[in-house]
Amino acid sequence: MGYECRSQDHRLSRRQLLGALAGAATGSLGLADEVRAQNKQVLFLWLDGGMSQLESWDPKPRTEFGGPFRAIPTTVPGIHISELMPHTARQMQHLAIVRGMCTRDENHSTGVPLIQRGDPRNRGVTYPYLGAAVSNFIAPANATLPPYIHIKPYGGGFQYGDGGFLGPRFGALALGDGQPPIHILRPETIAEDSDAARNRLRAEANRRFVEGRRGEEAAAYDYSFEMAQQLMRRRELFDLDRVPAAVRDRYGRHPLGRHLLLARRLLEAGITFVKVTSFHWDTHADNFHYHIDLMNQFERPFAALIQDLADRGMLDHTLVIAMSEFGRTPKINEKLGRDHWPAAWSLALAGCGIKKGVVYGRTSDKGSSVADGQVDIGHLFHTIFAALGIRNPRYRVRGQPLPAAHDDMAPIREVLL
Amino acid sequence: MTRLTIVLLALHAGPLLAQEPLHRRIDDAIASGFKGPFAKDADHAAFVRRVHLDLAGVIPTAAEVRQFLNDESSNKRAALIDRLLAGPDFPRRMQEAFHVMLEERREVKESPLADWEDFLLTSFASGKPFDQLAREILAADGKPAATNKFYVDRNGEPHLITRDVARLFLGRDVECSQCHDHPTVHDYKQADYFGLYAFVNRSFVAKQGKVTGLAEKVSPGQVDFESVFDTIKMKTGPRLPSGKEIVEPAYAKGEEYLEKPNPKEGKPGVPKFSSRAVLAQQLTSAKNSAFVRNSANRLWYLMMGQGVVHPLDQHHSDNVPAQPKLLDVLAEGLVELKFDVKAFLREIALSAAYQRSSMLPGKDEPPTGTFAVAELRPLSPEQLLYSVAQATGGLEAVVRKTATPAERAGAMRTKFGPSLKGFVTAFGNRPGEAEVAFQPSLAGALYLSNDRVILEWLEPKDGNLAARLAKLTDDAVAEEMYFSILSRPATTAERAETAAHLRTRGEQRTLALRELCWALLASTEFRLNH
Repeated sequence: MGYECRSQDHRLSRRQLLGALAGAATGSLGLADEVRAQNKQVLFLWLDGGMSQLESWDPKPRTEFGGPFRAIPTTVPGIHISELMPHTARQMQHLAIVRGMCTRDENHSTGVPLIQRGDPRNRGVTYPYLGAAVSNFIAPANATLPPYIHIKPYGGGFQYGDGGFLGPRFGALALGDGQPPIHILRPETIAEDSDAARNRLRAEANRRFVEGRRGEEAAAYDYSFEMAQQLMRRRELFDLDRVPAAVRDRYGRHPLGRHLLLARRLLEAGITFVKVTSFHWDTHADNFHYHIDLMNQFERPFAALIQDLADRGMLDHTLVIAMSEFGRTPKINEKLGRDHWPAAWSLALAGCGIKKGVVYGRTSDKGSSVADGQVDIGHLFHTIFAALGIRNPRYRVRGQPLPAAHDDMAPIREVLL
Repeated sequence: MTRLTIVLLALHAGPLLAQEPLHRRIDDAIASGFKGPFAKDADHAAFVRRVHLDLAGVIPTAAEVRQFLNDESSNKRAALIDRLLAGPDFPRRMQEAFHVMLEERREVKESPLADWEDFLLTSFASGKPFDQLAREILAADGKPAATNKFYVDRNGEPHLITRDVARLFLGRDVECSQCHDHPTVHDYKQADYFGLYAFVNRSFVAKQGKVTGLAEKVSPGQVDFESVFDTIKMKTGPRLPSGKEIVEPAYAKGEEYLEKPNPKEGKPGVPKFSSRAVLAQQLTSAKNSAFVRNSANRLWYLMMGQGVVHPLDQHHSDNVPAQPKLLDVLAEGLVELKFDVKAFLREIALSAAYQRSSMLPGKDEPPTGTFAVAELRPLSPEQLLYSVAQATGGLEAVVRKTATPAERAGAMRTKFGPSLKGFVTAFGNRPGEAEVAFQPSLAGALYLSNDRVILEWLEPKDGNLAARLAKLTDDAVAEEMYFSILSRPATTAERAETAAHLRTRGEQRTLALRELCWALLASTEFRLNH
């Protein structure tokens, strides 16, 4: 937590330090405790590199740039999506598709943080990523597990930078290939009751130390051990061998399938914000073959997840977002690839606060521009906050109130309940 | 009447005050800025731990604590300060602290960390003044190669270097003024940013034979810039903020080089005029008040855990310190002491402010930055590792036969290097990030709870803490344990708790001792310099 927050008039209170550790309760203005109490959750599926809207949510079959795939009907009459999404088509009654995304940045390196920070008006400060922003607003103050977990291929660790001006503590706990943090396993030489005993003694020592002193540091330090204990107790969450084989098959045994299954388990365990990243969507060459493969890896577990959340009654309080940093060019290049296209692309929403079975926005016949219902990432951030019941989301940084999403934009009412 | 009195007092007091030692002037400045209440003087046990951590980078041994508490001489605190400053740990402690302060734990393979550590260690062991050290780092003449580290770690990227020179050596986070005058900080101007940039924009990282070094191009002339808010074109040559633009010598075409570039032989060339050398000279001058004040403030932070100006890189007129006179006094003192780090830290350590307790003076906490109560500040990953090793009894054997700072640092690096990596990952910030505030993390808690190396140190072996405790009666365990780990005697309640736990565990005495020791190592009291 904040370097900047240690200024004269803004010393951290105990609650803030605790909250910061939990990724909750600080930096926000007018936070509604009732929102926290509702245990709302988010699953954020990030398709890194740029999924093609034409091979997914916004197919244009039999047009100049439409590519080889057909559009198929879904469970909602009148809504068609790409034939590469047969399982997802059967879940359309839960989904809202936004087809009018028009954003500004066509580079990965700047576009990814720009989009995940919501591209607010530049005020010379670094905004938090969506996961940090949302857990700041809604993570329960008494959360016992980290509020923001990122499941990704390759390495894990703690991603401090996601916190932006909220501070490094709001970063994501990243699970490389879905593996739990190192040191989560207690060595076999320490029995459970011994671990409990030593932690009781530790807590007693802390209680004595804070008498007559500032208590914030001790409370925050204590809390880090409590969280470690909780995570150690729940380490079975990470053990997918415990999940029935049929379920694992339904999600797929490939990384994204495993990661989405783990995401479901983490949501069930009460994690506020779970981000799942899938790489390799940057299909500058051989776009169509790649999309056959990638879409299969994405849409089967995605559909399984939506169905599972709905069956468990979790979809009402869990907001699902599936998106990239931009879409892909309608024009097919000489390598049969599609390039970066921020001007007209799509994403999907489902669950908490979101209308079921709707499409908002329309692209031109060739798909090169937005014809109707054009929105930017700022609109989406407003929509996400509104869907989660966060009214007037703002931060306070160095004494200045800052809007949590772009000032000139508003929620997309058409997709909100 | 009032004004007259002040004038008279000033006339009278002026020459006398100048002779006052710096630590008195520090306390006078603090007393003039805050009326109290102030925390009491820290007890001797708290002092001995604090000053060991700050000047030796590790907690004292149980024997050192006992000896200090039993010492009845009235000047024992000053004597201990001097002993630690002259001791073999001080240069290593400074090496660690300045690596964090100036490099923020950056590390690239082109500039080996070990070389840089040796350079810092040698610098502090030889008593190199801070202005000279800063000059060598900014001039980066490659002698030794580690002087290039500041630029090489940042891959010669001139905007990053401009930002970090301003932040770390001038105390100004000017990042926003790359594109326009700073929107909220009125002192940070875009012209100042580009003045600084013009000093470093011609330096670049180049391979010279087998080593990666730093080279410089000939002057590209003035730098063009314009604000993103308007379209007025501006130019500047190299210029320090609030300084004068330097006039660069003009050379005829072909005459600019001392040594001409020769790409075939891998020689990038050496220009006759080095703007980096001028930057190093001008910036580190005692007349550059931004440099002096930033240096004084960072050294103060090192000892106090809170800058007079805080955040440390926010020196500007809108960030008024709670103790406005204090930084003037410190800056003056640093110049008087000719940037002698050891002498300057000595004065801070002698001040009543440094020696105050962390126990609050009343129900309310004094405002931050008044220095009325000692800050609770985290041990650095290095301090924490060495202190765990010290407490559990594994450090003494490693350092026993070392006499010089280099020998000692070398022995500690050899023994604890791999563990240190783990500690830095679990308790430090990522490279390039200031390590300032206390940030307890899940990773740290999991590390202390489950890391096998730590747990192994708690097993009885070769006269270490666990072995010593195993030989004691239940009633004597607490005393030795608290002296060894928390550097203080145990209270009555703590003795009772310890004995009770040992009784509960009965036969499982080794287990009980392990639990008791771990609890203290994982306690907040151990984690903080208090």
